[in-house]
Amino acid sequence: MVRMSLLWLVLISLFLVSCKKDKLAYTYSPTPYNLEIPEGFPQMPMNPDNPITKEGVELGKKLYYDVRLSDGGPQAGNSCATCHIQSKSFADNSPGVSVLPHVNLGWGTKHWLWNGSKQGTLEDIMMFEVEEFFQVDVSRLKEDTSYKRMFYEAFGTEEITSKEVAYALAQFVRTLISGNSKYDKYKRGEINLTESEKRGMAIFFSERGDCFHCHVPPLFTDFDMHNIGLDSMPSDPEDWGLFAVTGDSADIGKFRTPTLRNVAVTGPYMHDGRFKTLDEVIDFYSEGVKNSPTLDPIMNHNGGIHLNLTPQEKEDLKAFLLTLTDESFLNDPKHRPQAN
Amino acid sequence: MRIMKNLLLTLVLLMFFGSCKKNQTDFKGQGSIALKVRYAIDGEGLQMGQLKYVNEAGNVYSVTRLQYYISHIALFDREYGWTLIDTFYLFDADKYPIQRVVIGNVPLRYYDSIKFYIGLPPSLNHHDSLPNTIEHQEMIWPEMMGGGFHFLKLEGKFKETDTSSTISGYAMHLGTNVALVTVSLPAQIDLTEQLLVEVSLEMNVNEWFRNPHTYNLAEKSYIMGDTLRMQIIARNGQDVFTVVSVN
Repeated sequence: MVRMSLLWLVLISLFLVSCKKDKLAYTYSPTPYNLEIPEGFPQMPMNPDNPITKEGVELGKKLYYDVRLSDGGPQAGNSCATCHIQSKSFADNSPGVSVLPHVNLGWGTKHWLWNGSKQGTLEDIMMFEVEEFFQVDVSRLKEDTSYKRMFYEAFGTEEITSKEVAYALAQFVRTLISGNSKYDKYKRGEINLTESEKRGMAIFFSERGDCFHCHVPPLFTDFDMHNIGLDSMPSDPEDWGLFAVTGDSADIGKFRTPTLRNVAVTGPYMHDGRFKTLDEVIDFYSEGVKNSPTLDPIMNHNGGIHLNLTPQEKEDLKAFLLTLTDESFLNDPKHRPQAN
Repeated sequence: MRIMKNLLLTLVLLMFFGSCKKNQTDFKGQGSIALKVRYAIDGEGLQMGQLKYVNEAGNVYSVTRLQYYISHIALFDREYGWTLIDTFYLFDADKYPIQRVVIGNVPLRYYDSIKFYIGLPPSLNHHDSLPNTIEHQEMIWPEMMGGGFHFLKLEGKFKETDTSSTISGYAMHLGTNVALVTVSLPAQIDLTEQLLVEVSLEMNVNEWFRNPHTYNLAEKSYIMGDTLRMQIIARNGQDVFTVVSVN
C-alpha cells in the first residue's frame, strides 16, 4: 500500500515537473544567430524589423520543409523544399521546372523572381510566397502544438500570422549561404586551379567572355534584369520577362540574373529551362544570342553579339563554372530539418 | 585735436582691417558642401532608355546605365591654395536622376574653384580599398584586366545615323589608372558666410563623345580593355560637368 502511494507520488511529481518544463519552453529569449559570412563576401543587408535568431531560423527551417504550408492552397501538397532541393542548390531539375536557387538570397535587394515581378527585401518576397504563392492557412499551423511553442520562442507570440511565417522563412533563407567552392578555396589561397579552369576563369573575367558584368563575384549575380538575347521577338508571354510586369517595351525579354553558384547542379537553365546542360548554355552565348532592340548593351562585345568561342575555350569556361560547386553547402546537414 | 582725430581714425581703420583679416584667416570650425548632380543632353534633361539623343558623330543613342565615382575633391582658395577632401561617392543616374551628396569637414574659406576625379585615385583603386558592399562589388574591374573599380559605366543603345535601321548596344566603361578623368570647374563657394553651400552640377552626356575627340560609337562600341579608346573617352570626360548654381 505504501509502495503504491509512493509510486503515485512519484508519478504526480513527474507530471508536475513536466508541466513546469512545458511552461519554461515557452519563454521568449531569442538567441542571436551568428551568420558565417564567407571571406570576401559583401556585408549582408539585414532587416532591423526581423533580427535573425536561432529560434527564428529553426522555425523557418521547419516551415520550409512542411507541406502543411500549402494546405488548401493552389500549391497543395508542396513545401518550399519540394522545388528547392538542397542537393540541387535549393533549385530543381525536374523536367519543365526552372526555379531560381535559394542561395545567397540574403544579399538580394533588387528584383525577385525570374520576371522581376517582386521588389523589396527578403521579407517582402517571403510575404509574397506565404500570402500569394502558397496562400498559407495559418490555422493549419496552429493545430501543431510544437509550432505554438516555436513561434513563441522566435517572436514572443503564440498568435501566428502570415508575417511571422514569412519572417521565419526569411531568417532561414538568410542562412543558405554558399561560399566554399573550389573557386573560393582558390581565392583564399588554399588550393590551385587546373590550367583549364584558369583559362576558363580568364575568359569569364575578361572581355573575351564578359560574364562578370552580370554574374558579379563573389555572389555571381547582380540581382538585376537583363535581356541576354534568348529570343528576338518573344510571342509567348512567359518569355516577355519584365515587360509582362511593367508593360514598358524597353523591358521585353529582361529576366533576373541567376547566381552561378553551384550552377553545375541547378539545370535546366534559363527562365523556361530551355537549356538542359551547361554545354548548351555556353553554345548559346557563343553562337546563339539573338539581337533585338532590348538586348542588353553589354551583350555587344567587339563588334558582335556572339562570343564565337573555340571548342577549347568552351571546355575551359565550363571547367571554370564547375569550380563554383560547393559540396559542403549542398550536403550541409544544418540546412535539413532532421539536423535539429 | 586734428592729430588726435587722425590717430583715432587710423586706429579704427586698423582695427577694421585687422578684424577682416582675422575673419579670413582664423578658421574656426568646418562647413559642408553639398554636391547636387543632374543629367542632360545639350540642355535637355536626360530620360533614361530613350533612343533619341544625337551625339557629335551623328549617332542616335540612348542611355540605359550611367554609374561613376566622384572622388578626390579639392577646393581652391587664393590664400591657402588647394584643400583636398579625400572622399569618394558612387553616383547612379538611373537610381537617382538628381543625386545629392554632402561633403563634410570643409574648412571655412572662400573658394573659387573645385576639382575632382571621375573615378578613383590610385590609392583607392584596388579591391580592398572601398567598403565591401554590393554596390561597390558591382563596380569591380577584374584583376586580370588590371584590377580596381570601374570609374564609369555608360551604356545604352545606338543607331549609327538617324536613318540606320540597326540598333546596337554600346558600353563605355572606364577603369584602371590610365583612364582617370580630372574635372576642374570655376565656382564661387563662400563658406565664410554659411556652413553649408550647395553646388549644383550638370553632366552633359554628349560631352563624353564630343570634345576634343569626336567619338563614333559605330567604330567601337565596347571599350573595356582598350586603353587607347578609354583614354579618348577619359579626355572627353574632362568637360562633361558644368556648374549650374552655387547657393
